[in-house]
Amino acid sequence: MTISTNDQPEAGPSSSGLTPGPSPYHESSQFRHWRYSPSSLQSIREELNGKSVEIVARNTELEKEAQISLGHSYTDPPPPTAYLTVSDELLLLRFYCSQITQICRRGFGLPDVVESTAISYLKRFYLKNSVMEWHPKNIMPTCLFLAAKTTNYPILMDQFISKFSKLSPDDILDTEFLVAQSLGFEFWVRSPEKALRGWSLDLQNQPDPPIGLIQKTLPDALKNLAHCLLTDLEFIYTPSQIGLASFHLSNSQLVEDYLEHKYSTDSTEDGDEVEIEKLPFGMRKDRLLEILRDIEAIIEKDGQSEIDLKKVKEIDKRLKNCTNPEKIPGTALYVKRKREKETAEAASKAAKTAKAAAAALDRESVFGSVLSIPSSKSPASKDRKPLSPKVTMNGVPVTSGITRPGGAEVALEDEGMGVKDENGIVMGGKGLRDVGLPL
Amino acid sequence: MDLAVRENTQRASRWEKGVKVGEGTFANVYKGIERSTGRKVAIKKIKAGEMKDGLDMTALREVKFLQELHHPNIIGLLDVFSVKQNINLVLEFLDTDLEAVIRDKALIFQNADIKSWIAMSLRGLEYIHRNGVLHRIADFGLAREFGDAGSKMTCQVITRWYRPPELLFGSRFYSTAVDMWSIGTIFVELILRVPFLSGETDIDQLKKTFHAMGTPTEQDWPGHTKLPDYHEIGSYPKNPWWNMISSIGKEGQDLVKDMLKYDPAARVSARKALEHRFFSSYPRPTPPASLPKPLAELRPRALAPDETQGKPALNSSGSGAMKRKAESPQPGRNVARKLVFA
Repeated sequence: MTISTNDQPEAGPSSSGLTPGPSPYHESSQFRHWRYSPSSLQSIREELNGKSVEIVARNTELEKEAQISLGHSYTDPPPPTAYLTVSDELLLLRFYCSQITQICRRGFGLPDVVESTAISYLKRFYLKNSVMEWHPKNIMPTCLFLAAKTTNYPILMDQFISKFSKLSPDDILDTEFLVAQSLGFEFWVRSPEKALRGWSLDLQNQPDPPIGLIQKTLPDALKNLAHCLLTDLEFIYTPSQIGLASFHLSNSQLVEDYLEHKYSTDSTEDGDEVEIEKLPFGMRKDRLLEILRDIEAIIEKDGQSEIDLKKVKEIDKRLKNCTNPEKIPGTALYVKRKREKETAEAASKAAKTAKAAAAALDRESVFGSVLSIPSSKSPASKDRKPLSPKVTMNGVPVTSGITRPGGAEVALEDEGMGVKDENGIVMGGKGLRDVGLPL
Repeated sequence: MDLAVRENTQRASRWEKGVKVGEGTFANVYKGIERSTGRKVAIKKIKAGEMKDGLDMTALREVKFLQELHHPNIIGLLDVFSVKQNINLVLEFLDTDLEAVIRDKALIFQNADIKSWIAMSLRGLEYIHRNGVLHRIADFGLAREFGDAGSKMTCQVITRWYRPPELLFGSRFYSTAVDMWSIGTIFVELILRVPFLSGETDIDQLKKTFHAMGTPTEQDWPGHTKLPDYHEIGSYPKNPWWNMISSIGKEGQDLVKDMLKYDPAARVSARKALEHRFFSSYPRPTPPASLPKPLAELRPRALAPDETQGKPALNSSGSGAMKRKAESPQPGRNVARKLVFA
């Protein structure tokens, strides 16, 4: 399985010639579409932020106009300083990521895979959308609800809703599709937890394995992993690198002894001629350690630090004034957009109906239109029971609209494919459709 | 416009939807083409919306797995886009499926053909298992990843006729071996041209299984009497049942026996099966392009609803081999490569 060059992600620090080649991970959507370099992450966010500021400013202006046209009072657009910066957005996002952990562990008792998947969904969502367009307090529950389904631990809507105050099923249903779409319908997230548990086995793969130490270190390493969830690490590094770094951060000696053993047995020479791909983990040991230290620095900086709740509150307050009014139910602009959308949908529906009618007409023109019988009988029977030539041909008394030859009351048209039978009765023609022949 | 919406619009514009070729409770399938190349594709429109619990979980799982699995013997998911609240999967166009092939009595199968179909199925399956996914003979809507030892799974999977005895006895902790049993029964069906074990109920399925191959003893299958839904089902004698497939030759009989071992732990793996002498002995497998294939184009047909317990609609389509279940009728299946079983 080759990865097409178009799909190559931005080369992150660990994908620049350091990977030992296609593995299941390298085929994953996570590698193909959700790997970034730190600088590309930054520029994506700056661009999103800039665009949202523009949109919010424009729409706030439009909201003002809409309010004025309704004769309501209005608010002026926020001053430029009021908008969220990229780091404001990130802090708010981090806060809501940590909320997922709380809800999973305390509210539902859901397994880690749901928690880590939901957090990844939330982080991915905000690489396609800005906090100023969609408030994370609305997107976070949706990510969790969706993640529970995609990881095989579905929660019934009613039960789910009951754990949140002020949340209705519609809040979830209205945004679930948006979230799925923002994720590119890619739902499988490779969590570093499996990698970490794999390392706990691999670390035993040496003479005189330090089993006791591994066991003692594991819980702490898992704690580090939980901190990773609040960072950008999954966008930059592989799950196995993150898993190993979590161990290294807990006990560097444990990991370095293992690497010492690994590199001394697996590579015979450490001269320059050794091919990189043949080295353990496809890279030199010093490069691997450098990566581990980079990861650990990010865990310590972005993952372990306390979230400044005061700042979160301040940002959230500011956000109220710089949220895209188009997305807030109840605003004049929201109502206006909704109406526009409904009108457009009605128009497209009407166009569709017209098209279908035209197509039906077109079909009919091949065989002629439906027989219309100017009968003296009740109009209903005229409409409902058009002439059936088959019936007349077989001499079966006809109950409505027509009598047998001789007393025929009807003027049949023979357009289309009509033919006359031996009695001069026209068969088919415009009425072919009513004979039950396939059109 | 939101970035995600813009991306979606771009994706959607790559594909042109054509006539409907299949209809089901959860999905409709259409022919389609890629605008830039004119390449034929199948577009599976999953009906979403208006469901109380949001996006359908079966659809989500199918998308989840197909997004990650890329193999010549697994139906390719080319794109996903949405129109209003419907998810559209753009799938590789395959022009027949194994069910249509089996059903077309005008076709004559040679052993080399059967070998080719089984080899393709096993290659798809081996890849899936290597990636930590159980197929469970269905659309990927029933697939799941399995790496978490100790997590319980449902036993109501796999169309009954292809369901292994451990699932019929209610096992909740099962493995890739379930898929191997399924492929074994399909192997026999290819030889006999009728379903091998066509039980009318779950109990009947066990009865038919034991009637055909003898009731398992503790030695055949250690521990099976401890399974949650175990009950005694007659004591049928063991017969050399493989004589009925003697036309496939001794190597083929051996492989079928390895696939249909009662003890899941003893059942052959996809990888080992591919190394079996059957595939290295004469005759060579038929090249996919030369495999028998119904003359008539696949007609539109009803897609069965998701059926985890009913009779198989037998329209395997799709993916790796397995897809013998309902619901995804890929309109077509490419003859040979995709597991044509699709």
